[in-house]
Amino acid sequence: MAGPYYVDPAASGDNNGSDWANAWTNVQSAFDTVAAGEICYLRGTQTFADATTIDVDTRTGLNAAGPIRFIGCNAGGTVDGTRFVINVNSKAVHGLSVTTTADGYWMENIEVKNAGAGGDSKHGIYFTADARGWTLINCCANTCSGSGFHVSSGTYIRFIRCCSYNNTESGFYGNPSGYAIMCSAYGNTVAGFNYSIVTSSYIGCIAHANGTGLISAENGYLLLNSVIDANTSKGIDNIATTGIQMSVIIGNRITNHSGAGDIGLDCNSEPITTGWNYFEANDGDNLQEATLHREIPYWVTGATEAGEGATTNIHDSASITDCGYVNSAGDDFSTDYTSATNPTLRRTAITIPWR
Amino acid sequence: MGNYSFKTTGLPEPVNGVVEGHNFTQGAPHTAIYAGQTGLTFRRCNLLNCDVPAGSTIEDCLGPVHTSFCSHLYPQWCEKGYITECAENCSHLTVTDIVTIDGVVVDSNYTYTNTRVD
Repeated sequence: MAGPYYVDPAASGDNNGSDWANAWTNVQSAFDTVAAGEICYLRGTQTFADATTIDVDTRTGLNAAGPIRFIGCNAGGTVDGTRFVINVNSKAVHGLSVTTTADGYWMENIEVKNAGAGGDSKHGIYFTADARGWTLINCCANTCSGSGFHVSSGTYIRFIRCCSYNNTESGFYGNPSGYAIMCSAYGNTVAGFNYSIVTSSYIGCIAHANGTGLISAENGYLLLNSVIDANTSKGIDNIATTGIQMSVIIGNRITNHSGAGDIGLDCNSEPITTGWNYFEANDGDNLQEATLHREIPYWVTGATEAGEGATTNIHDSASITDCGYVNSAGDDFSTDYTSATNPTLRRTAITIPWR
Repeated sequence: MGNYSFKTTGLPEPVNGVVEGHNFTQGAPHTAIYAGQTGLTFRRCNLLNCDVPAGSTIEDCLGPVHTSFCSHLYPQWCEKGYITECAENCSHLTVTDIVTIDGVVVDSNYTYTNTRVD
């Protein structure tokens, strides 16, 4: 096992990746070299001078040897959350193209942005092959002509504390059998989270000011303790499919879909179970109850039957200001509601990294 | 930071001449935004299909770059009037796959792609 390796586009040494002074100046060299169990540190910004994508098609992180780790650092070479930036610079290519079964990468503190030159959509990170088991932590994809993170093929992709914003398509697209934890998707033209499919999970996420907050094309997903707010179309759109998998939507705030007729949660007769969601300020139906498959009943103190005297989804509490957020206008979607009289309202605070 | 996709009015006011961190994706190529304003700097914005005022400074943005969107790929945008409806054999058509059985056409599959506009 060799390394660690280093990437710094501003380095002026031997360009062999051996240390910061002699760091590779092109991250492609790292993707071609770093092997399973090895680590590469990156700092600074790599700006594309031409339409040459960064191909991830050579190495695979194996379970036995461990993942291939790429970790961004600050200017001093310390890991403190500062991201290494890949600026595609409006070239007609994707930022990173995962074009073979390149399994087992661990990407931490990496940003990809400005992919596309008009025409075909170009994504920040684009999985086109069945790459499995990637973990992305504190990564960011933004301002692309396609999606920020686009998983056309690939499974078990794990996004943790990632953000994806201002893309012309979606923030996070695809990702079968994957999950997103404490991720944020905002300002994306089509959707925040799109094509939610079988066994996808979203926990503690935010979808804010996208076209649609979350689009599901196949169901079978979990949405838990998340905020779906102020998207310009529907909050959640479950598209009619022929699948039979049930989606579970629990403990979320679905708010401020204020366009004419915009629905908070459009179930569209798909097999969906919901409970303990809070709805407010959705112009259309908060929840398409007529097409909802099932609400989870629960016991209330003194009740004799499940769900007696209680509702499992809360609609439009006039006593709650700013839909229960600390300051949504200031992008603070933490909730500080502590009512002792209405315990059905979720009080879990969410602090999401916007950028 | 906001999503102003398909909008040319109600755009955020520049701050000291700077417009920063917004998504201004438009449906049609060469759609003017901030028309008539001068001396602007656009920083970290998505300017897909935007024409910004002459003399503007562009810093760390996507574009301006221009795309002719196919309504077959974005029916929801077409429904909302953001883009124009395309014919079945529109200029975005790249592949036509006609399936015949015993000489009878039983299915037609079309592949469309957005096209770049200069």
